[in-house]
Amino acid sequence: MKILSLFCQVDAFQEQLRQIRPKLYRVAFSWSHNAALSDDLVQETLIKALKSRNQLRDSERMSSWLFSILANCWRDHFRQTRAMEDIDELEDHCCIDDADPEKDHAQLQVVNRVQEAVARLPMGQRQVLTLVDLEEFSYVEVANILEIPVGTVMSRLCRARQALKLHLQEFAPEQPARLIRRVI
Amino acid sequence: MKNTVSDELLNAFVDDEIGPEEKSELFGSLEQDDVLKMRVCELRGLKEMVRHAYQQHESPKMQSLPKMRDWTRYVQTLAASLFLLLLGGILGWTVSEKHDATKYHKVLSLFRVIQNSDVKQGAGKIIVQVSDANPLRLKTALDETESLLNSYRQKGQNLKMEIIASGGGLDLLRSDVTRYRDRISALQKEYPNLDVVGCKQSMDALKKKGVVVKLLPNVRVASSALDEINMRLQQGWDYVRV
Repeated sequence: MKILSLFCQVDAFQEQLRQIRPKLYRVAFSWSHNAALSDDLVQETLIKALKSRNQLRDSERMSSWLFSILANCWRDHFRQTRAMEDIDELEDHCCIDDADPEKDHAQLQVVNRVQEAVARLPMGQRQVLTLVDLEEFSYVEVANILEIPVGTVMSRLCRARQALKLHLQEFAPEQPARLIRRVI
Repeated sequence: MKNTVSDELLNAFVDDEIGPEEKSELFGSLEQDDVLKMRVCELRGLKEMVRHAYQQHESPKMQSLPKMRDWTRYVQTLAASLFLLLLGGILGWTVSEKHDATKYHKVLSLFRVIQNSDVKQGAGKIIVQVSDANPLRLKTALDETESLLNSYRQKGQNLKMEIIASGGGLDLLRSDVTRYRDRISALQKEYPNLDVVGCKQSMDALKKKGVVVKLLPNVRVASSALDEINMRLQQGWDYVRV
C-alpha cells in the first residue's frame, strides 16, 4: 500500500504549482498588463521554483514563496529592459493605448477603467495593492514577499488607494453635456 | 475619534488587519460618524473593484512546463512501474519470505532514486529545450543553463546539460541570426559538460521555405528534438522547456 501511495503522490509539489499558477498569472498581469509578458514571468517563476524546491522548508508557505519569486522575476525583468535602480516608484504606462477607438469605447467599462487606473500607479504601490486585494495576503506576508517593512506596505497601500480613487474619478465617463437653448 | 482616524488605520480595518479592541472602537465611531462611514465604504468599494477587474484573467495558454513535466512524470512513473514489476519478479523468485522487510526497503529506495531524478545528490542531467524565437526565452534558456552549471560547479557536483533548439528556438543557434554567438561559444569553452544541439527537422522545415540554415560551430545536430528529448528521458535526464 505504501508503494501505491507513493504512486499517488508522485509529485505533490508540481500539483501545487499547477494549482497556484492561475493566481500567479493574475497578479503578474495586474503588474504588467501584458498577457505575453505575464505568461513569461510565470513560466520563469515556475522554473525557478522547480530548481530551488529544496529551499522551501514549510509547504504552508508555498504561496508566499512563489509570489516572492515572481516579484524577483518582475524586478529582474525591469533591470534587464530598463536602466533603472528602483522600480518601486516607477510609473508604467506601457499598456495604455490611447489611439485605439475601440479601446476608448471599452474603457468606459468598469473593468478597463480600473485596470487603467491600476496601471497608472507607481510599481511599488501597484504590487502592494494587488497582493492585498487580489490574493488577500496579510500585510506581513506582503512585506516578506516584497522584502520591505510592514510600515511601507501600509503607507504604499494607503497611497495606492488614494491615487486609485482619483484616477477612477478622472477616467469616469463624462456626463453628456446639457443642451441649453436660449430662447429670446 | 471623529475625524482623527488615519487612512492607514482605515485601510487596515478594511483589510482585517487590526486587533479586536481597535476594531470595536472603530465600529463605535462608525455608528456616530457618517463621514467616516463613507470613507470605509469607499475603501471597500475600491477593494471590490480591483478584485472584479482581474477576476476573469487567466493565462491565455497553459505553457509547457507543468504540462511537459507531466510527461516526464509519466515516463518516470512508467519506468518505475516496469522496474518494480521486474524487480518484484526477481526478488520473489530468488529471495525467501523471511526477507520480505528487507526486500520492501530495497524496492522503496530504488523507487525513490528513479523518482528523484530532479535533484540528484551526485550528478545531475538536464536537457533544456527552447522552441520559441521570443528573445526573452532565448536569453532565459542561456541564463538558466549558465546559472545551473555554475551553481553545480560551486557545490562541487557534476552536472551534464544539453540545450536543444527547435522550431523558432533554432534562432539561438543560427549563425546569421543569433545574438548570442560569443556567449554560446564562451559557455561551451567554460563548461565542457554542456552540449548544444539543433533539431534537424526544424532545419529542414526552414530549408523547405528557402531559408539557408547555418548553425554555429560546435553545435551537434539531432534527427529531431522529440527523439533527442525522448532518448534523454529514457536515460534518466530531467527535462525543462523554456
